[in-house]
Amino acid sequence: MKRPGFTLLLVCALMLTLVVGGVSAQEATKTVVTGLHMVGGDIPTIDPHAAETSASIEIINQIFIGLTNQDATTANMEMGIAESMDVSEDGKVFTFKLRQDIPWVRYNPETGAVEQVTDEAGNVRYVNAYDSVYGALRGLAPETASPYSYVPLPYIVGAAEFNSGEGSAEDVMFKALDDYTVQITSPDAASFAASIYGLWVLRAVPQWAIEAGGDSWTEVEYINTFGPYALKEWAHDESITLIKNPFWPGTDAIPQAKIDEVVFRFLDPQQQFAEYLAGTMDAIQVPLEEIERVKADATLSQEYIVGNQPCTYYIGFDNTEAPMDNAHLRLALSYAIDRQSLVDNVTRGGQIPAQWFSRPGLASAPTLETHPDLGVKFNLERAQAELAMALEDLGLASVSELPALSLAYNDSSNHGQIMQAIQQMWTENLGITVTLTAMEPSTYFASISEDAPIIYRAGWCQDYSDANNFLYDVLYSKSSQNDAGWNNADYDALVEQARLESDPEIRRDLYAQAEDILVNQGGGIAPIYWYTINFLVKPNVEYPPSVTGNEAYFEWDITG
Amino acid sequence: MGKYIIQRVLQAVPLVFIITLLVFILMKISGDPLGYLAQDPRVTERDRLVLRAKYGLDDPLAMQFVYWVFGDKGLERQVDIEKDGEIDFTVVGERNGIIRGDFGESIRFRKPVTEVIGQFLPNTLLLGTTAFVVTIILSLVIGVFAALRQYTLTDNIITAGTFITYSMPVFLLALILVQIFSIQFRRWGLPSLPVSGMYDPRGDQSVDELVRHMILPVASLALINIAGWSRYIRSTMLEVINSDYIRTARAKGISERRVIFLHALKNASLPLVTLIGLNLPFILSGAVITETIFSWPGMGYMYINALDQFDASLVVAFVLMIAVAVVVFQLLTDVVYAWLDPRIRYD
Repeated sequence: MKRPGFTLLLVCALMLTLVVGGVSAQEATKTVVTGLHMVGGDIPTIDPHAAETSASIEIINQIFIGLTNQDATTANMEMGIAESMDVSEDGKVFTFKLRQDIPWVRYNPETGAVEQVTDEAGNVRYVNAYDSVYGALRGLAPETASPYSYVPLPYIVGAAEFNSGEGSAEDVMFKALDDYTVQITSPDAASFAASIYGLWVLRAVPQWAIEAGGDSWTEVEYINTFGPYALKEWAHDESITLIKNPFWPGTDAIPQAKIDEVVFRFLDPQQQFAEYLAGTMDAIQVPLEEIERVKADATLSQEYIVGNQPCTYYIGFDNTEAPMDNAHLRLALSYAIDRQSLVDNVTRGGQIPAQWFSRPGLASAPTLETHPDLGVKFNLERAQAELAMALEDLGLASVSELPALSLAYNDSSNHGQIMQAIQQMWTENLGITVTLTAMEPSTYFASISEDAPIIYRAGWCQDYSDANNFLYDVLYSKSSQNDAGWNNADYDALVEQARLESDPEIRRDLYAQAEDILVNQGGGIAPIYWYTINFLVKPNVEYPPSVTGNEAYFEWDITG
Repeated sequence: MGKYIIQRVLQAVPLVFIITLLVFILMKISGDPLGYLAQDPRVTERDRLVLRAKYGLDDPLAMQFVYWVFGDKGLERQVDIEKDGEIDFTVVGERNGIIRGDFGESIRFRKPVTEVIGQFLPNTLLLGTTAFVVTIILSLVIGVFAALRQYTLTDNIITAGTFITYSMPVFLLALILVQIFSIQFRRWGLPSLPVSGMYDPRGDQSVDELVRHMILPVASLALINIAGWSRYIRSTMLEVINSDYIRTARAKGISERRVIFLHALKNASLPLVTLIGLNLPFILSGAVITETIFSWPGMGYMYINALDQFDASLVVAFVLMIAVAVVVFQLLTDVVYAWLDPRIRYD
């Protein structure tokens, strides 16, 4: 009796695999598959007024454009849907003339094409001043509860009152003068206000679609957009596909898209890396643990890009609670951290040791070229001297008499490794032993705002490109973001002055003085490093390197 | 037989009830669903009370359970804000109860939970059923083959192979398969398999593409199960082959093929029914780890993401669905078993 052998079966199975595996899809359109700034799971929202994470904002930046726009490669402010901006003599009244040729669009799944949206009378709807005002008021309205509404509040008359529920929408000085003119009035002359007016939280949204779709208005069935790309598909938990909007007029700042479709896949860096090696993704973030391997690999090292990200990693101290209310103790801890060694041996992603808080590259922030010696660097003698002064202030004979200190961090990414390294540096350099407290990542920042731990890790990324967003919005004594409780009258005076100053060089100098007080004299926080991003991008993809931490896919192209 | 079935069904009812109660308790002890509003200065006391009344959060616990199961449609709740005995407003309940499939809305998908499950379940069934069928066929083939060649070199090789895959965690096996068939094959210029997803985002959504994307997840799921199941079949097969009635059958001069496939295999596969029955519910639940590694948009992947993002109504519906499925399939297994094996007593 003859039976087919087991090996034969395996061989058949293998052959089938190879045959089926050999069939590959034909590329009909220029498509880029990207994972930059994406994470595993779903993205929380693409509603500009609910957006909070970089993944959400990344998608929004391709489909909704602000009055002004931040150029991804230069970080400079340029015009978005406005064609011109006029600022009054006193610097408080901003008048924007909108372009009249930007239609609202939607993707039609039946025809497979992007089409212009028409109103009840059948006329094409163009993005106008009323859409812009509707969007701004929706973003500021208390019932929207936008996580970013706090950013523009100080720069629009009446906004703070409206947002707190005390004032009315009519009193918000964000007005449509006619169909294509928007006028915004700021309580004081802040030179960077125009870039804030372009933020996603104030962008135009389609009132009719929101009324029709309710909470589901961001789904393909309802959504109307107007950027260089339109939403083609949102497969929750998997991917978002954007398709080129042929009706975007193409402006000097924001050209028509060159790539037909951009697919954003929601994958963790490790999965992205495997996909990239398998050739199924074009642009990915490199997982930290693979960076050495990428650098050593002949092919991958050619495709490796280290980009700037306008964020600062830092250690916060509760400036209001003993013993961390002692400036000498804070400075001792800050000076005892060997930041260079940390980025070389622990993070290893090309990060830059931070000497101060406001990330160089932001408008008016000090840079390492203009202020090479500003701020804090690892300095053992200074650290030990500060410690001696701290002990004297506190009336203690030795470090062992210090109360128990703990360092809190959100238990995700590589924060644990970084905290261990810092813990070790403090033990070795100062003899201070801190315990590490790993905390639940999803509620970490909420609990810090509630009550800051005695020492904690944090990071801050720009909302708009200006040093004000770091030094005033985060650490001004009365700021709602001032979790550290940093309070210094000289510092406050400097950042208040810089906020209203219009000369960029004078502003930079004022911020440098403020930084010196913050990190060198007062030790309000200990800056650790300035973020970088590690990407792999396929050689046939033309990628204009971004310095803002946001990608402009309408500038990308595919060659060959 | 009919009496036996009725008896088993009646036993299952309290079990389902207890499961429902446990899930409800789990849901309740996970915290106040409106707790996050307490710190938001923009939410007024009145809004909070309206929401609490809408969801019946101030009802007695037992009634909350009843309303959750059977719904509270049309039920009027009166709210007295100042506690001065004067009714300030009335809220009318809108829920249909889980018994009518109303698990509420998923906060992430902004759709009813049943609709979300309806979207992911077909993908899981496709992957799970394929893997299941492959597992059954291959474990039968390997199990019988090994049993017929007991203690030969082939048997020993199969034994060694199954022990290796059996002791390997599924995530490791999955990653090894990806490394070999997706990454190294591509590097060597061989036709490679996709790493994850159901379709290539750049390609068309054809059946070819789907099959290509299914090979690795199906292989990971099947290999692990084949290892265990084929051992099981080998041992029951050996037991049967060495029994008296097989010797009798052979002695009667029946052909070896008939002996093995008609007499031996039929009896040896009886315990397989239990194995299949107990594993069927997990086709519904999706293989959480495998689906996550391969980003397969199925129930397991959805469940992990729902857990991660506190999508409570989705988590509850999923847990309840799987628990009930286990009970139902266990019941079915018992019934089928009783029908196949006359030795099982009905009373």
